[in-house]
Amino acid sequence: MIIENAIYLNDTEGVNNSIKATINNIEMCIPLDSANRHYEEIMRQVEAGELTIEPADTNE
Amino acid sequence: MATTKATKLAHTIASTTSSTADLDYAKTLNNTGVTSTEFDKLDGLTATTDELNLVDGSVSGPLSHRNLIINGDFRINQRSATSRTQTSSEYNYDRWYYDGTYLYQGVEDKNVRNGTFTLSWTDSGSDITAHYVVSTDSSNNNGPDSPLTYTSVSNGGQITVNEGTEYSKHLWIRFGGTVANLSKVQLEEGSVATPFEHRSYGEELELCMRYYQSHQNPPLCGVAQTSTRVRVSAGLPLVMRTSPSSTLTNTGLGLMKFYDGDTNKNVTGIVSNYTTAYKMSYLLSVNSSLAQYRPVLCDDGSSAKSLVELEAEL
Repeated sequence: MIIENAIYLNDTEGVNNSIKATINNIEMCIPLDSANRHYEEIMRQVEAGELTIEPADTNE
Repeated sequence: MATTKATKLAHTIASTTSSTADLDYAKTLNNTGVTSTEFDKLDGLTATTDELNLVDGSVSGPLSHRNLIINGDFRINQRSATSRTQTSSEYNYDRWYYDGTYLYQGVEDKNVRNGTFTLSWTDSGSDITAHYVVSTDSSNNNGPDSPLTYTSVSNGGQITVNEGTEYSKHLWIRFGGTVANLSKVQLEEGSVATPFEHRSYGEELELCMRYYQSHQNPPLCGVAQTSTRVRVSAGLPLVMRTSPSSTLTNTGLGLMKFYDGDTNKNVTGIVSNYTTAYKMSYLLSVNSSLAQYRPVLCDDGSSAKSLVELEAEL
């Protein structure tokens, strides 16, 4: 699974509620849910030092 | 089950032209059990052994909903894949994942209990091979890409599941060879391969929608939170396995539009995602001013084809 451009998205109270990323060349919104296979793989790559998730853009 | 059928047959014989010998024979069957040959003698059936196994109790699994494999005959193709192997490292036909070599299907942990299962399939060629693995790791390495050790299983062969506790592990099946020739894949409890269970199209589609849903011109409604943002939601027709990943196609092209009663505005991006297993829900940006606080609804018009895809596969 090729994951690029990962960035957190905030809810209206400024709390991270999902991740926007390009996975296998398709842009997706991934919930912060350990049962979601995309989130599971993102966390695996983060822990392996292969991926960094950018903080949410507060100007959005 | 066999006793009941033998009794009914005895009644039928008694009401027609049966002899005393016929009735004695039926009584004997009633007391001792019935073989396929005896059944054929009694009523002229040409039942197969598989069918007789179903009625005489040799099959320990249920009489309906036996097949744990979803879309075993590849009828459901919500992603409109051109083939089962169109894209590597992705799901193409519903529930079937292709890694570039094998075609996989995972049976969700909530449907896997301990016991003996039988795997069967049809192969219009002659080179299909199958393997399985029971995955008990709930943290990582649980999917088709994981480096798990698979075990070979033959057509009509048995799989024993006894790892961990019941309903705590996925069961992965994979097929190699010319997978375009593969069909009627069935995994069922017990040690007997029964005929493929043909479920209705609607029922099979609903089973698939637990893992993937596609909504063209989605029924999203909500409110203009600001003049350039809409907060919109829609309930899902079926609860998904877990919170799904969302893909909004055509938003960058402006084909998804929201209508506030006065004007349509194009969506330009996703600001936040509130989607759960029960609903799709987003905060979206639009390209110019809507009337703030007005209700809005997704209104693509007759020709636009915005698409929301929700994915909660294993």
